[in-house]
Amino acid sequence: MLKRLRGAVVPILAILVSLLVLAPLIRIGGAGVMDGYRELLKSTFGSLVGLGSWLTASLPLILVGLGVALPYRAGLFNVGGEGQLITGALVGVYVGTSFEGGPGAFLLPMLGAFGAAACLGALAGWLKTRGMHEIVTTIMLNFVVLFLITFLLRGSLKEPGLPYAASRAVADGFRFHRFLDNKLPYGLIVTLVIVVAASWLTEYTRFGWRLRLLGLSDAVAERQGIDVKRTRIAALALGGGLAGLGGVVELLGNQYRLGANFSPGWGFTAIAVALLARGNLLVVLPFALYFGFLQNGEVRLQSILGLPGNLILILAASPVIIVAAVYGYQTFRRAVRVAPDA
Amino acid sequence: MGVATDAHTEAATKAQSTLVAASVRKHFGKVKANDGVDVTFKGGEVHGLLGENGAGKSTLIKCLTGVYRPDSGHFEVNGREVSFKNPVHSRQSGIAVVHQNSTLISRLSLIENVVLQEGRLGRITSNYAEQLVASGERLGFKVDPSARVETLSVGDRQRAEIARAFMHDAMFVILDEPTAVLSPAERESLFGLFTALTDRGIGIVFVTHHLSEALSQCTRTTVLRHGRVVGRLEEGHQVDEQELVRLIIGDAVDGEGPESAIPAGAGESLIRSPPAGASPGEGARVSVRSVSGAPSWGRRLFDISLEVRKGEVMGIAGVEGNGQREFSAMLTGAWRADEGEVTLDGEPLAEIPPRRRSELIGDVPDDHFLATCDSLSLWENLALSTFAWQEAPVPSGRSRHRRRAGELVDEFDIRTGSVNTPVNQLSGGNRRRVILARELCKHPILLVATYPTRGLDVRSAEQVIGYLRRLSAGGTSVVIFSMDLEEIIEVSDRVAVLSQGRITGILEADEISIVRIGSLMLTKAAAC
Repeated sequence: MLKRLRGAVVPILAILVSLLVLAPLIRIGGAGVMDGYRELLKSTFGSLVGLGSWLTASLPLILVGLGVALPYRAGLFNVGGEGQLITGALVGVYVGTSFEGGPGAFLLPMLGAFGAAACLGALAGWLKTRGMHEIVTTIMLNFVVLFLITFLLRGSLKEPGLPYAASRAVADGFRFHRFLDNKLPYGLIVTLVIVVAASWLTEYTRFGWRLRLLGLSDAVAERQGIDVKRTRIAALALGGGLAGLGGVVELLGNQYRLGANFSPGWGFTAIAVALLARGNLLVVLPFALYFGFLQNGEVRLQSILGLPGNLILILAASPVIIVAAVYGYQTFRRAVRVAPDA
Repeated sequence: MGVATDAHTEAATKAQSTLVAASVRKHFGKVKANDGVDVTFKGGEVHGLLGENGAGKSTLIKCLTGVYRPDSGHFEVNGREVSFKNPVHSRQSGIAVVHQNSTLISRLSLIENVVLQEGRLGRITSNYAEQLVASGERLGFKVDPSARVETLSVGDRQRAEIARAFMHDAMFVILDEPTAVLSPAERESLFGLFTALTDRGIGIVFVTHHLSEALSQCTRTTVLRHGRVVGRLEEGHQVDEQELVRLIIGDAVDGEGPESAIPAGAGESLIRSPPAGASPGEGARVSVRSVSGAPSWGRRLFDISLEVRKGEVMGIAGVEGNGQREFSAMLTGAWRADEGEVTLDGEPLAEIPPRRRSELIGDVPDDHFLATCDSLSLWENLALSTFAWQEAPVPSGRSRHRRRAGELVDEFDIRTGSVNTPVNQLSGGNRRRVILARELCKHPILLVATYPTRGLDVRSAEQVIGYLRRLSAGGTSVVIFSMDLEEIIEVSDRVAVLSQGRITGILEADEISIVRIGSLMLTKAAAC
C-alpha cells in the first residue's frame, strides 16, 4: 500500500509546482494572485452549479482517460481517444434520434457507441499486428472521424433550421436524468460503475494479467502462450470502446446534440491524465477530476479577471511535462546504473 | 600491500601494474554481497575469480567498474588509491570489462556501438573506427567497424567487445564468464588471446564456473564465498578439482551459511509425483514433422523432424545461435512455423489451447528476460502462468501465493531477502532458479530447457541436472539444449545435433560420444 502511494508522490508534487507557477502568470496577466486562486476555486466549489458543471465536464475525461490507460497497460499508446469519443457520440445521436427511448433505454446508445468505437480501436490494433505503429494509426483515424463528422454535419446529420452545424437532439427517453437539485446527470453513476469494472478487469482477472504481462514484456507474454496479436487488438478495442462511452455519456447527460465543437480536446487531455495515473485505471479518476476542475475554472478566470484562457492550458500542461521529465530521468538513471535501490 | 611499482622492480622488462581491492564491503539490506574482500590483481597474469552464484563475484566486479560504490574499503591502481565514481571513471583508470551478456546493440554497427559507449554529445572528433581497428590489431585479430553486430558470431562479438575495451589502453581486463557462450573452438582462440594480452603486461581477471578452465588458464586464483575470500591459490600451487570444489561450496558439514542445510535432493518433494498420463516407456510424446520456417525475431529452421519418447531426455547439442531459441519456441508452442506439424501426445500443438499448453509444457528459455518480468516481484513471477490462465490474480489469493513462493524459495535454494523482492534484484543464477522452480512445479509432461545450467555454479548445475533426471523418471519428456557436450552426454538418453537451423544427426544411446557429436556439429556446410 505504501509503495503504491509512493508512486503518486511525483504527479501530486508536479501539480503543486504547476499551481505555484500560476502565481507569476496571474500577476503578469494583470490580476491579483490571491484573486486568481480564489476564482479558480470558486468556479467549482463556490456553488452547487459549479460543482455540478465540474463533475459533468469531468465524465467524458474520466472515460476517455480509461480508454488511454487500458491500452497503456498493454504497452500500447492510444492517441485516438478523440476520434473514438466522437464515434461514440455519433452512434449515440443516430440511436437517440431514431427511437423514442424509455426507462433504461440509455443502455442501447451506450452499447452501440461502445461497439462502434471498439471497432475503431480494433482497426488500429489490427493494423498494429500488420506492422503499423498504433500512434500513427490512431492519430490518423482521428482525422478520418473528424472529417466524416464535418461532412455529415453539412448534410444529413444537421438539424434543418439550426443557425449552427449540429445534429438533432437525442430523444428525452434516452437522456440521463439529473439529481442533486437537477445539477448532476445519472451518467456520473454509470461512469463510476464503468471505472470500477474496467479497473477490476485489468487488475483482478486473468485477461487483465495477460494484458499487463504483455505491457511488461511481449517476449515473456509470448512465451506464456499469450496470443500477442489478439491481446493487442483486444486492448485497443477495449480502449476505443471506453473512449466511445465517454462521448455517449457526454451526449446523453450534457450536450444532447453532436456539433462541430462537441469535444474541447478530451481525447488529448486524456493522454495527460493516463500518463499522470501511470496507466492505473482507478487513479485515472482523481486526475481526470483535477483536469475537469481546471477546465471548469477557465471561463471564470477569463470573464471575471480578464485573464487569458491559455493560462489553464499552461496549468494543465506543466505537471505533465514535469512528470515526463522525472520519469525520463528515472529511466535514464536505471539504465546508467543497474544498481538496485535496496 | 601489493604496491609493486617501486624502483627495484623495474629491473623486469616492464613494471608490473597492480590493481588492489582492499577490504571492500558492499551490503544490500541484509545481504552481505561483499564483506571485506581483499584481492590483488597483477599485470601479466590471468587471475581466476571463482565462487558460487551469489558468492559476490558480480558485486566485486561492479564495484571495480564503478557501477556500485562500495560501502567501505577502497581500490588502488598501481599503488594510488582511487574510488571509482562511475563506469567511465573506472575505464579511464585502465580497467576494462567484458560482461557476460553482450552489451552491444545488435541493430547497430560496431563503430556505432563504440561511439555510443563513448557517450559524448556533439560532433565526433576522434577517429574511433581507426582506434577500434588498431586496438584489434594490437590484440592480434581483425575487426570490421562497419559490421552490424547481429551479423557477427558470438565469438566475434566478444572479440569486438574486448577490442572496444582496449581502445583506452586498459591495464586490466575483467572477463565475466566469457566462455559460457563460446563454442569449443572459439574458447581455444580466446585462451590464445589471453597469452597475447598477458605478454603485453596486461592483467586478466577471469570469472568462470568451469574449474578445468580455471586450473589450466589461471596464474593465480581467488575463491569467494558468502562475500568473503575463502581461498587464494598462488602461482605454482597445485590443487585438484575436488579441492577447488570444496573451497567454492564450503565443507558440507561446517554448518556455515544457509546452503549447507539443503539436502542433496532439494526440490524432490515438489517434483517427484509423476504427472497424470505420463507413464514412462514406449510411445512418442512429441513428434515434429518436417518443420520449416522463421519467426519474425529469429533465424530459419529447415526441415526439422524429431521424435521425443515418453520419459526420455533428448539432448540437443549445438552452438548457440544455430536455431536453439527458435526450436524451443516451436516445441513450447510459443511460435508456430509456417510448414510442418508438431504434435504432443498425438494432438496437434497448434490446436491445444494456450491454457492447457501452459499446464502441459514447462519452458525454461535461454534468456531470463524471456521468462521473468523485471518489475514484478519474485512471488508474482512464480505465479506468472497461473495468473494468466488458471486463477484470477485477486487480492484474496495473495497470501496463499506468497506462502507457496516461500516454500519454493526454500526448496530451490533461491537466495533472496523476501518473496516480495523484484526479480531484477536477484543474481542471474537465482533468476534461473526462479524459472526452474516455476516450470518444474507445473508437473509438465514435456519440459523444454535451453541451457538450463548456464551461469550456475557446479553444485547448482548438478542440482538442476538432478531435477531433470527425476522429472524424466516420473514420465516427463525432457528436451535439453546445451553446448556443454559433457553435460549433454551425462544427462541425455538420445542426442540430436542442431547446426545452422538443421538437424544434422540423431544419435541413439549407444552411439553417443563427444567425437560423433562434434563431427555432426561440423557437417553444417554440407547441407547448404
